[in-house]
Amino acid sequence: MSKTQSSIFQKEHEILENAQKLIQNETIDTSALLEQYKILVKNYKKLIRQSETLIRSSDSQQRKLNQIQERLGRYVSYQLFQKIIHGKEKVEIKTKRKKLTVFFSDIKDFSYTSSHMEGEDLSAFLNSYLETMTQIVIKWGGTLDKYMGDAIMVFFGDPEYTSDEEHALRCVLMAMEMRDKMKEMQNKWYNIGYQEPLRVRMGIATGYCVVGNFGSSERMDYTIIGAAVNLASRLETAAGIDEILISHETWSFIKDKIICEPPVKLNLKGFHYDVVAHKVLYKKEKCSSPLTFVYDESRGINMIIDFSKISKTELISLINAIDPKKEE
Amino acid sequence: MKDLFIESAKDTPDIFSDTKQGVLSIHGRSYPENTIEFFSPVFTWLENFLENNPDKALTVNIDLYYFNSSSSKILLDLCDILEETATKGRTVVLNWVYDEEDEDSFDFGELLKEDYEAMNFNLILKE
Repeated sequence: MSKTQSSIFQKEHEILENAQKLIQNETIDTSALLEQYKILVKNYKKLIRQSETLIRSSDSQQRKLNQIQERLGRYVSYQLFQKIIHGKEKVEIKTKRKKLTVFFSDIKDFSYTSSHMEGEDLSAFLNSYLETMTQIVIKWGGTLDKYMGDAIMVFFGDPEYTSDEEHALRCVLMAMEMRDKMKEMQNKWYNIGYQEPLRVRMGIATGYCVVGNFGSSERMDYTIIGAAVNLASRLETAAGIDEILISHETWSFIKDKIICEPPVKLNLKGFHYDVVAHKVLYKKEKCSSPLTFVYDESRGINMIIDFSKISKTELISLINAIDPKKEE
Repeated sequence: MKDLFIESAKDTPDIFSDTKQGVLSIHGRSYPENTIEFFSPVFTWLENFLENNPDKALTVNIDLYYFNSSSSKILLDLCDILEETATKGRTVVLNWVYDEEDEDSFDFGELLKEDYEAMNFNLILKE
């Protein structure tokens, strides 16, 4: 029991001590005992009443606290919510450098599409889209950084860190599930009267970022900054409809589990060099596609083979028929 | 008899007394580091007031928008003294002022109103 708690019961302790002293005496004075007994009963009644009031008040506050927590959980990511509620870290302007995998998505030409939608329809549509996508983010353990209209920014690697490989893979799998879900949603929207199919673009990049609380002591945002953030955003802008473009570093972490198209070099705004990017296709374990990609930059190989159109034997014959001298 | 003039701080409320008018006012937020020590002058003033002004009515205004559990216990001790005083025949008024947005303060005021019958307990919505 803390000093404060014990001192607020100072009177109660004194009454109890007086009563105890009296019964410890060798000769017991009946009238004094009766007097103490009356005081004890009176204070016991008072204590019960006070305790009942305090418990009712405490229960009511606990209920409200739970409601606040529930509401707060809807405004911030699950991970951040857990950090705020259970974390022992101080809430202060503090950042750290960490390797993260960053995800950006948006709906292509959403501004144009939304310009001919009624406000109510637009908000219903946007909320339904963000709700569905957010459930997928939660499922894969991403930290939902923010919504920016129809755009979503997510990162993996903080506050919970496992490994760079796992974060990159989770992020790409999340994006693939979003892409699949969008196909379902496109049908649904078409059937309820949206004539133009809404398409997403996604960009993913892995790299060192500065993560933490940014802002002022009065108002702060838990977010990230860094080259990987800019790259993920630029890759998203460069992606085609329903495409996921990932950076070369992200690809290096997922290449054994996910099939991507051969890399392309992109000239992205804000980057003074050509950025190597990979278009995500599908998971290796569920590889039912007849397409095979052979890529080895050091040996100058970059091929897409469609085995629904050519057999392995025919391919070998074709390669054998190539005369390098003639090709030169 | 010296009146109380305690100015509010980050964690403690304003406390003022007016012996002539028989008024004690507590206003602000209350989560002191040491609750018993902070409120000790209030109990001393109250004890002196009741002893030295046997015929005077007493009005206590409490307007707290945040208070911790220790402060709640102190408020209950204070209310017990007021109730006991009212039971003995003196006019005691407790004005519990709450903000419309502050459900905790309103709820606690309602609990007190249920518990104390001898004093005049007013639950007052802040304008």
